[in-house]
Amino acid sequence: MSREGFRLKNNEGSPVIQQKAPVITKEEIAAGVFLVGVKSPQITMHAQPGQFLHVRVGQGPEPLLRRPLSIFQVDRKRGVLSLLFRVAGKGTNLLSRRRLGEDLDLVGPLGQGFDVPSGTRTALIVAGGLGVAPLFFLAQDLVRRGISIHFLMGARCQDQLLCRDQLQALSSHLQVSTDDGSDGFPGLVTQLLEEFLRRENLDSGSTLICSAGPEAMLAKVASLACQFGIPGQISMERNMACGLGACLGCVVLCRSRERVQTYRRVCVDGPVFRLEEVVFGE
Amino acid sequence: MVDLSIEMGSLRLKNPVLVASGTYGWGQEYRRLLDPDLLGGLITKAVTLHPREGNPPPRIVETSCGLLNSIGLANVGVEAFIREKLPFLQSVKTAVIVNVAGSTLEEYVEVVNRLEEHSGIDALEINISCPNVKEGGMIFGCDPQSACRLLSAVRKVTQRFLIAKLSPNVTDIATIAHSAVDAGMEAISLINTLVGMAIDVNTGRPRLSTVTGGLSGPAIKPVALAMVWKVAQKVSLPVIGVGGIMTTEDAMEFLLAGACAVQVGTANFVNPQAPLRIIEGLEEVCSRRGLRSIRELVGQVEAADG
Repeated sequence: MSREGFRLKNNEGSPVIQQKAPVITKEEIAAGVFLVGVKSPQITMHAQPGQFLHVRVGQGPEPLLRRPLSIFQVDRKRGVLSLLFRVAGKGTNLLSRRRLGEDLDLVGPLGQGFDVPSGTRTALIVAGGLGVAPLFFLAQDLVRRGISIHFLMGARCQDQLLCRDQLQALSSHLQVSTDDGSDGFPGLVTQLLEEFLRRENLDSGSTLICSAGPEAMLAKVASLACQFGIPGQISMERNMACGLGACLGCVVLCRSRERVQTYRRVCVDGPVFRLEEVVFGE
Repeated sequence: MVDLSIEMGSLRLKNPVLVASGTYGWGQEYRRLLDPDLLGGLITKAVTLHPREGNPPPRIVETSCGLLNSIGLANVGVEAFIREKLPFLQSVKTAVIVNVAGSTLEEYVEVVNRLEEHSGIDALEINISCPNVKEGGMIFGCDPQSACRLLSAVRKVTQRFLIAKLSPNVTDIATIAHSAVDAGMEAISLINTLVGMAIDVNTGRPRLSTVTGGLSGPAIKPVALAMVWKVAQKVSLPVIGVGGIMTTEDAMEFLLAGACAVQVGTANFVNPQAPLRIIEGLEEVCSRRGLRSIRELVGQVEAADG
C-alpha cells in the first residue's frame, strides 16, 4: 500500500478510541523500565506497528498533559496491549505506580505507523535504548508476514538491553551493542549498523531500515541509509499536547520531496517518517 | 428541561460552552472523539492573510498545573482556510467563530474582507492578544489607542458579529475593554495566555525556542476569573470567559463572575470529552437548583462592585 493510501485511510477511516482500560500486568523489566499491559480489545484490534497511545497518567491537574507512549505489543486474541516506558519524570513515575486493576484513560491508536512496502524481503531494525518500544510490535508483525528481519539493538549497558530474550525468540538475527562494552559489540549501535551495511550487500529495492531511539542516533542512521542507498523509516518523539493534530505543539522540521522545508506534526503526520524527510540538527 | 441557550446580541448559542482558539484546530481534528454539533460553538485556530510556518520547536512545555506554548500563529492562511477548512465548518450544526490575526492592521482588515462572501461563519474573534509573535498580536492589545484603531478598522468592513479577544498582559484590562466598546465590538473574550517562561537547569537554556511563551491551563484560572469579573462590572458588552476551565464548577465560577459563555481550551488536551462533560454538568446543576435557564446564573456572584 502506498504511503499516501495508508495516510488517507488512517486519517479518515480508522477509529480513534477514548476509553478507560484496566491495567492487567505490570513488570519492571530493567531498572526504571516498566512493561504495562492493559486490556482494551477495541484499541488492540485497530493498532498498527509504530502507532501510539495518549495516556492520562494521573487524575488531577498535575501533571496536566497526557503522555504519548508507543504500542509495544498487541495480543489480539486476549485484547491486550502493552506499553514500554522508562521512568523519566513526574508523569512516567506516576504511571509506573498505577496498580493492577486500576483504569488508565487511553486515547488511540494514534499516528502514522510503519508502512512496509509490499516488495520488502528484508527489514533491518535498529533500536537505541528505549527505541525498542515501537520496534518490537513491528518485528513481530514482519515475522508474521514472512519478512526476514535483522535486529540491531544498542544500549548504555547490558541491563538496559531490553526484551532481549523475546527478540531472540523472534529472530535468530539479533545483534547487540553496549556503550560500555559490557555486552555484544562495544560501541554505538550505529557503528554496528555501519559494519553490517559494509559486510552485507543489501538490495536497496527489497530492504528497509526501520529505526527508533535518541535523535542523534536517528540522524546517524539516516546518513548511513543515504550513503548505502537503503530506504528507511524512523519513529520520532516530541512533547505533545493534543495528540490529534490540532495544537501544532509537537512539530519537527521536515523537507518535502520538492525539498521545501516545513514543520510537520509528530502526532498525525508521524510519529513514523521517511528517513529523508526529517531535517536533523535544527 | 433546562434552557442552556445563550443570546449575546445577535449571536445565539445552543449552550454556553465553546472551544477555544488554538486548542481545537479547524474542528475536524476531534470529530472522531466528540460530535462537534453538541458544542455551544467552535472557535478556529487563528487565521492570517498569508500561511505561517510558526515558531521553531520546542513549542510546548508542561509547567505546574499548566502549559506554556509558543506556536507562533502557525496556520494555512486565509485562502487555504476558505478552500480546505471552511467546508467542514459549514457542515457543523453549531456556531462557528473564526479567530483572526495579523502582523499589521491592514492584514486583519484583509482577512476579514476575504471571509466576507463566505457563509457558515457566525462570528469573528479578533485576536489582539497573541504573545508569541514579534509583530502584531499582543502589540495591538496592550495599548488602548492601537486596540481601538485596529478594532474600528475591522468594524468598518463587516456586519458580522465581532468579538475582541483581549490579553491579560496589561496594566488595566478594563481600559482595553473600553476601547473594544468604543470600536463597536459586540462581545469580549478574555483572557488569552499569560506571558511565562521555563528554564532547563541542566542546560541553562530556556525550554521554549522563543524563550517566553503563553501560559494556559488550571494555573491561570484565578487570574482569568478576576479579569472577567472586573471587566463584566465595568463594561456593558457580553463577556466570554476563558482561562483554565477544566470542570463544570470552573465554568460556573466564570458564569457567576459575569461571563455569558465560556471557552474550554487546554482541557481539550487533557480530556477531549471535557466540553461535553461541562455542558452536561451545567444542565444538571441548573435542574438541581430549579433554574429554568442557565442565564439565571450569569453575574450572580455576591460581591461588592469592583
